[in-house]
Amino acid sequence: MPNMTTANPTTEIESARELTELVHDCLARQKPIVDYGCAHGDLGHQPPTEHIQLVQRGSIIEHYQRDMTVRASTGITVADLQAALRPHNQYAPINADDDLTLGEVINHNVYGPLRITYGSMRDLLLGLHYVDGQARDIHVGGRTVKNVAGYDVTRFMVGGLGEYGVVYEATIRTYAIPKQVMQVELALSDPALLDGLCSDWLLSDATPATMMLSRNGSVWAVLAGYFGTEHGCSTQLRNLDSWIAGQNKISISDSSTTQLDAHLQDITLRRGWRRRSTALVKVIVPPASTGQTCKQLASWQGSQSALHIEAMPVHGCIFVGGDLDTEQAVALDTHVNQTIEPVNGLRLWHCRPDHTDQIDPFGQPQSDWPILYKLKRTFDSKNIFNPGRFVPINAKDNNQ
Amino acid sequence: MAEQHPVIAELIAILGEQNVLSQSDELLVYECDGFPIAKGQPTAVVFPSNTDQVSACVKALNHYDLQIVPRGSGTGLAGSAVAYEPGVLITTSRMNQVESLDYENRVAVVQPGVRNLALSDAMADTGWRFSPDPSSQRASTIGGNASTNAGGINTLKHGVTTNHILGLELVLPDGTITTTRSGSMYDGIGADLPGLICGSEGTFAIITRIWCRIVAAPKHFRTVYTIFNSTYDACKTVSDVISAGILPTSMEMMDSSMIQIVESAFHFGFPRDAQAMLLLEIDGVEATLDEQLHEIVRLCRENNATKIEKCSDLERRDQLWSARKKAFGAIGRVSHSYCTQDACIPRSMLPDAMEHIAMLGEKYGLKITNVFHAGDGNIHPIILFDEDDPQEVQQVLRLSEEVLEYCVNIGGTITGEHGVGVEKLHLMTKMFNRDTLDSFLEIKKTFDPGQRINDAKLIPSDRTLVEILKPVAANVPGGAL
Repeated sequence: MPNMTTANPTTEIESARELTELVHDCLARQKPIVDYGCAHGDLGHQPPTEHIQLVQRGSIIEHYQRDMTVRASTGITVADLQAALRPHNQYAPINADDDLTLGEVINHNVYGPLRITYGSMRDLLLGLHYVDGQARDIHVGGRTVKNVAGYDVTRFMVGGLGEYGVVYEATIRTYAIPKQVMQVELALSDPALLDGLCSDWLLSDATPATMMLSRNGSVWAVLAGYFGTEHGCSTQLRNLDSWIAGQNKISISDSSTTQLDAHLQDITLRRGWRRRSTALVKVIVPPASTGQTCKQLASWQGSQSALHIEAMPVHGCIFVGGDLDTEQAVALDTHVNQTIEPVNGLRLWHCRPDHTDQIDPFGQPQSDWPILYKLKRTFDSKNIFNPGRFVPINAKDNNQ
Repeated sequence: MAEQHPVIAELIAILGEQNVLSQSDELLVYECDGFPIAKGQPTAVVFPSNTDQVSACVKALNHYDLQIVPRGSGTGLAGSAVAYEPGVLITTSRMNQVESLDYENRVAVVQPGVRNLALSDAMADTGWRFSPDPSSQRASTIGGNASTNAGGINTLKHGVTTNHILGLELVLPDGTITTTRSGSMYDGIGADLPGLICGSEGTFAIITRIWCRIVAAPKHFRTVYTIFNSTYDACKTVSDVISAGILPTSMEMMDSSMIQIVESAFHFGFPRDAQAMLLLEIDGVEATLDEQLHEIVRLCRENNATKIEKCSDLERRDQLWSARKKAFGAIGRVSHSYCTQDACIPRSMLPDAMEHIAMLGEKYGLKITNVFHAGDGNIHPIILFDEDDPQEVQQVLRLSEEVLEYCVNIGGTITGEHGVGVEKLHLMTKMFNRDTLDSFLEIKKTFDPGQRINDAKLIPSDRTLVEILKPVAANVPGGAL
């Protein structure tokens, strides 16, 4: 949760009308509205000391079962969303922890190993309702799978850290729950080997539906999931065997059939360290540099306990962190920056020990940030939504 | 001879005489795009070959009260790439280099004038492809595809253009060159700017470089061709297949009149008394395809399919898809004038929607034929009419509007893939509330405070009023579907 040095009032919102009234009220009182989410409370700069803490409750508004889409208020948790879809043999492949709300997933562009098959939230979202900085109720996108009417603000909002408006309703795609999952664990001695293999793997008949690289102690492993019927899963496993035999760099250490829930639960467990760490940074690199970057990150000697490292190699996304103090985190930041600099990588601190300002959470300014800053002023001219979290408070003055 | 606009000399100084068109006869072909109703002759058409030249042209144009209109190869179907008020077309079709193909990171960097198919051709025999496949892909450019967020036949499973764009280089309306998240990165920091720019129909900036995600081309497929005795049954099959959790690559449909038109033109052997034809394709791991195929066939039978042909043979597959792709061209044999609509509705509404649209055709006394992306719910009712009959023309316009209003009322949208351009500007108020339209205009002005670039396209403008006359002497909108 955000660092609240004074007790800030918490406001629960259950409807669009309540939300627009709240925004009206906060505009009149010049009171910021803050919602960093339950798992991203430390992401970005801390909110102003005095603010209204927003909490949204949510539920399914309508499940269009035959269209494979669902409309929900974004205060719904991932667990509740999946529970509502499951009886219809459907699920939302958003791969986020159960306690996150749908809004938090959208605001933070949360994705996981399922992205290989289903894309990320930007690919799943069809429509959004949000209240902007003028307390206007804005509806963009819709419930159809194709739609090019108007600007695609739906996608723009993904990853916006809740600074451009308060999202309160979303329509997303759903998919059928696969009949079975073949979960395969692959051992590899050197994560960098994966860099040369990934594209070949994607071209093979053994492309997995999920893929996650992680380190357990000194052992690197890839967790892969294959979806389908019993026959389909076993065939894909045979295909994987053949593909591995052809390149001789990794080996299958374990395989088992399971159900989707169990497979996703396993993924959640493997990334459980993220929520427990005092230091957590997300690193983005070109996909073919993922393994090498992981290897270099693992070489860091700044703490007695090994760093946790987990990656989605197909998308060049790495999470690294652990239980570090401020000094160690600053040293890790230096190491991360040195590691990713040659490949023009990005890094985003999700959690810094004691919110230390010795680490800039976002790193080097990117070329499109000036436009993002301008758009912040357009969407939220009074700067009341999560002010200062990403867009600097003084961005208007220095025209950044 | 009319006096030339002073900007032309400046543009020639930047680009050279051979890259600037300004004579009236040269400009004729640039009066419209794939939406030939609304026409406007530009002051000039320029053909830059690199980003710096685009920037220099934009800066020069900023000294004059002229609109800047970005254009690819002009295959758009809604009138976005036309200068309806005094303006200059900046055509990026000569910026046509594939700059790099990075298979390890699965990223292609292209200039905006690279044709869609040229990119996939550049990757021939590598196993990779650029997935978006608008029917105009032989001619349309990737810059245009990104600008309109183009769809296509394979988008049901593989997504539309925006799903395959990683980053963009832009020339902003003040001539500044900037880049969104780019390089080989599949993610960025902050809100998704490429997502906002894709589909903005050139109203924010001119796209000058594109980082495209490339994907493994499907190696294995099954194609199913099915005949039904009722459109309703065919549409219900589409909905049943989707709700069964099967995600075909494509599900295309023709109604009875379209089957007859195609059969008369090309003699594919389709039964002339068929009420509907559904063409489905699945792709993926070879060993998993037959199970899906079996389920699709079961659903077709359950919905009273009278003929089902399964195929994994490349030649037959090409023949079947050729029938689909030639459908639009065949319409010209039965009607000189036709008006194609483009709406998208929830897939479960397809059976009712097709019945309702047929009923509307009867109400207005007009023949409607249909060939469309059924799996996406993306319908293309094609209204046949006589352009020499002014009353019938008015009926066509009223019918089109009623069809689109109906689609909006059942949860759909006024355009699934063709875009708004100027064609559907007047319908935006039916799609969006006032606040949302106001916010769109504010976003536009964030990029373009002077409203100098492609104003009054996609969203209504408070500066420019575009009035299109419908229809004109030429054919009413067509284009590939």
